[in-house]
Amino acid sequence: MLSSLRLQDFRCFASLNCTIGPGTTAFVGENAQGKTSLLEAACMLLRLSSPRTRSKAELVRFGESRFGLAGKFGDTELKILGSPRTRKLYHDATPIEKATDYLAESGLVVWMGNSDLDLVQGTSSARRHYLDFTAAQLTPGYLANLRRYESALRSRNRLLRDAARSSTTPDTRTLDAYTQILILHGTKLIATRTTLVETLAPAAATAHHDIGGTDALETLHPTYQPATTTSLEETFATALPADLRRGLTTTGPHRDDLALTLDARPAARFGSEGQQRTTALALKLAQARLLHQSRGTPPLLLLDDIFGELDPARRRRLLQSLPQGSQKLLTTTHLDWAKDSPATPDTIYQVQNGTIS
Amino acid sequence: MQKIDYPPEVRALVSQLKRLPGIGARSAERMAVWVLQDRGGFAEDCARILGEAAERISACATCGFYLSQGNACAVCDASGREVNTICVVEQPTDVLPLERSGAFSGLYHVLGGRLAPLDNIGPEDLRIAELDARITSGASGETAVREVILALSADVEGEATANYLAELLSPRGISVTRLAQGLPAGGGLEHADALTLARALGGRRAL
Ligand SMILES: [Zn+2]
Repeated sequence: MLSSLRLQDFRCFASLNCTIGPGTTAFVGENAQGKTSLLEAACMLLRLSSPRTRSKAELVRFGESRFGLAGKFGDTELKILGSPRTRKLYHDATPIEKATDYLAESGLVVWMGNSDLDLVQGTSSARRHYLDFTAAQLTPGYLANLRRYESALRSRNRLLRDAARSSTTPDTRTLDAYTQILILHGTKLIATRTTLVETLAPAAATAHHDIGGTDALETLHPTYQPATTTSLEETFATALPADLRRGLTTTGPHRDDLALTLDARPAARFGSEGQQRTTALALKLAQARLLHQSRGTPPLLLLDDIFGELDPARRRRLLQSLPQGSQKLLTTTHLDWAKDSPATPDTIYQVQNGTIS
Repeated sequence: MQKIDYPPEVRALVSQLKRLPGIGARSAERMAVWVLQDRGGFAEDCARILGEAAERISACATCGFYLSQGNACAVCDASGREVNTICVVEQPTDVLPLERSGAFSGLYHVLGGRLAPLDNIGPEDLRIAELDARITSGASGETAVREVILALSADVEGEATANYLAELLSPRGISVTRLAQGLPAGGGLEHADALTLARALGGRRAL
């Protein structure tokens, strides 16, 4: 459980310190006052990852050179000092070298927000990120694998791009050196994603019925769609001519997708926006239930302004379906919806212009 | 109103110090303050020592370690070393930590960096051709080298460099091994303690 949250020069907040209750904590305010940044801070502190950006420079308050985040999770004081290029991690003021060690002491997190609609309507990168964020929390070492794969991919793409631009061929041995890293780590990514979707798919189908109620007559089927079904060794060898021609790595796990169908129809081209929202929420609810199951304690739920968009029936069903006893941080512009809801906040903060009260 | 700034000499000093790795604007200013307040002759000594080092130190043509003009290479000239094993490192500063571990008695080869396409560093920028030449030094290409140990950083660029060298050397019948995991990523070997390095050397594995 997260019991406190402190921010220093993070986004629009100069300095902020708040206690977090065990139940539901609400941050209430108009748009663009910084509410979402508070949830982002909690996500960053617990998972070292922001759902809004991959650039640490964006997290630093304008005119400052670094940000600080801290908070008590269970018995451990977690702390991050970040600048555009560096990141220092601490447990109880002891520096932690490896992200894996930091994350091992930290909690699990599910983020629900309006941009979740991208899971249905957006490109494959939104769905890959969803799989990665889930796998990183369930499988130790997954994140390290992913980061190495991505890092090798950037280098390999640079070799291919530079060669394509100058109409030369890249040095075969250097290119191979990076291809081998993609094969090594990419194979592990595929294996983890495969088993993840096997457990995720039935959980998502159930969650879809739970949230949609009688409106959700169809069954949601998430299916893992790897970019390639042959071994990665063979895949990269076959794709080499195309890679050379186009100056980038054209295929591999960085092009994987999660196909979403309702009965047999693609979810993106089917149903109202309300129904698509139900599908997106179902994926996040399934994520929450999977994390709950694996850790034995419910994950921290970060709910970014989602209740205003839902009709009362769907809202009630969603709230009833969330893992029992889960701690919730939520943002909202008003609390009218919460009057007779199972998620009545026990702590309420008003957020205005980068300050809270 | 006119803006107040440091005299040009102070500005030049700060901007020069800022070029040092890991030194930001504030640290550079703090160092400049210290240098300018020092009355112990630091600035004069430092200028002379920097000049001499830059002028007299080069890389040994054989192993790449620091070579002082007119002297023999401390690494290549050492007696009693096993000549059938070469340990490949990224920087000259990686040699002494390995020596301190006491677990290695062969020869060294300093690459001068690692592959890094994003920084435009390719194999031709590293002392790979020199390594190649060292291994095939005999008239008919025969070699005394039986094993090449890669003591490179644990990050992706180090891994890629290891893959590159393994592909280059393995076909020659040379056993190419890599230090066991657990070494610091990207920071070189200077942060690893002697015991960790000895253990990493003992646990090296074939690529
Ligand atoms: Zn030498």
